[in-house]
Amino acid sequence: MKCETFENYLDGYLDGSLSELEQQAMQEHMQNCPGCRKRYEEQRLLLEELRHLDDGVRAPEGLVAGTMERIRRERQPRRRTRPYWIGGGIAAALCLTLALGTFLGGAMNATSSAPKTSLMNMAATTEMGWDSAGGGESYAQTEETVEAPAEAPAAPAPNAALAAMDAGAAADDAAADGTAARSAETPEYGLKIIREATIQMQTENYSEDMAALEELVTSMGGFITSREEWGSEQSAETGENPRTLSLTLRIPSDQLDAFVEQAKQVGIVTASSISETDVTDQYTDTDRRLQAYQKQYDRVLEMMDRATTVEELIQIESELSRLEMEIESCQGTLNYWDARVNYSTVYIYVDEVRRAISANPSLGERMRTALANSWDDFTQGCQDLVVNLYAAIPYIVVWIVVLAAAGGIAVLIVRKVRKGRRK
Amino acid sequence: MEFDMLNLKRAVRGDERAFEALIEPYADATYRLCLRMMGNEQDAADMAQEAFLRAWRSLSSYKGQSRFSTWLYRVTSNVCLDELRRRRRGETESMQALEENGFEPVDPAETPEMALDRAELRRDLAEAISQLGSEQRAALILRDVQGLPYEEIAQILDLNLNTVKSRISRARSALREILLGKTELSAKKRV
Repeated sequence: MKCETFENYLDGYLDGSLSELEQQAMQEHMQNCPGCRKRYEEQRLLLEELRHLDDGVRAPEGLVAGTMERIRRERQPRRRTRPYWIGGGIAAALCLTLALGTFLGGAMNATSSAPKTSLMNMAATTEMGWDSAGGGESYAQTEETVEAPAEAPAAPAPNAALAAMDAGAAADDAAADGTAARSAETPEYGLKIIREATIQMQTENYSEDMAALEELVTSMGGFITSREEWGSEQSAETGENPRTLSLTLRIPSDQLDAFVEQAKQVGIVTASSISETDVTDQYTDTDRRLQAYQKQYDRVLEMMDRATTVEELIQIESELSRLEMEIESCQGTLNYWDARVNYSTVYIYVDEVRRAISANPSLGERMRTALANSWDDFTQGCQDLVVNLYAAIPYIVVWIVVLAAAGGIAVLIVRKVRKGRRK
Repeated sequence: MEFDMLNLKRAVRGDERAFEALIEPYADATYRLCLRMMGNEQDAADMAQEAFLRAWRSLSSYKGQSRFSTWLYRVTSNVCLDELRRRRRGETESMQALEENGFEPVDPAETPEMALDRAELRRDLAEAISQLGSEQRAALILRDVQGLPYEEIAQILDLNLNTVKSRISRARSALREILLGKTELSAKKRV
């Protein structure tokens, strides 16, 4: 066996996936070749260390709790969720009545209160009719909220007063930790604000609407960075396995608002939000560090001319390469922020549905939808009733047997007691 | 796992508590994968949350075609890879930056001693992993850190078995070169 072959089979040997013959050949080669034996030991050690690399690593406290918090906050209206059935027909009938009640309540609301919120509520209740009543409200709240991440200062629209406030806070910070005072003005390159948008929508014409969406992205000078699709076309016809799409794209920031507006026309938007993060402070810091490193670099470069010994030269060169790395890393960070500031990230989630909830329906449309929905609910309820009654057969049979037995025993006892009395 | 199936059914129906119970057992594994993919704790926590969130959103697409853990790993690695891809546009690749700074991958024929100090080795390992290309990194973490079988990794990364095997093998030799390069650099410094 050649050392090259040994190398090729090494992974298999360590995985234990080689045949007995191959294993023998490997062992023989190792006995005669100290280099390969060392190679094997090294690889074994490496793999062992890798395997135990994360032994002590635990997920941070509150990871799951934090996720659940976000899920509740961003909860999307799920498609017609059905409750977890326990009983049979009674539960179905009860739920049907309940759903009808919520629906009627929602319809009445819609006529009396402000059109937009009530519409949203109604959309939520019809969509989540089987769910807890609170769901509708929390969902309506997510509409158009502007979130500022906790670690960043609140980042509202870049107007002068707020900019001054931010800069003031920055100056306070600097004074507090005694570092070089930062200028209390907006830096020369303006505020650096990263804006991100999230849109959730539903569509009835999945293929057409997605094509329109992609065209919109290109026409605005944006591009798609990731696209993940679940479900399949085949089953969409039966409505069994609808498609969901998770799209991440980048849009020039000055087009973001226009894009969100136009994207909303494509499908039926169920929730959307735009968040802003102000990175001006971090950006300024990094920029200053970059300038400091560059000055230092120039100074060290000057020293190079004056160096006399080789030792000095080596020292200077290593310092230069360290500074180069720092400069590069600062530059990289700035580039990264610039890219995020200039191009906003948009996350779009699309659900394919048979009948989307319309954002702005006419009365006739609403009546048609309502009738269709309740007919759907009714037929589904009937089906569930039949299925559940069918499913309940074992229980019914067992109970009949048990009751019959109990009844039989009771009758026997009563007869015995009566006989006893007669005597 | 009977318990899992029940919670899965409930979670698909939109029951948040069931979803919580469903993902709780996978919190550590998900976080570890994110930690090795992203290279720091803050990003790892963010990505783990993002992964759970995406899992929740697309739960209805999980049809039991693979084990739930496999599916969750798949969602998680996609979330991390997406994020890394997004970032790559703004930053230079770390390997590239290193090479521009005079770092050269070492000829595997000459093998200086690897660092034997455990803690140091682990630190070096973690750093070396973060220098791998993100696709190689994902495959290597799943196989060598998480210890999953090749077949499952193929499902998670949506690749065929041979691609997975060769990718992991290339990742291992890249990792080794990075580690050897590092010890050689520090050896030079000491001289």
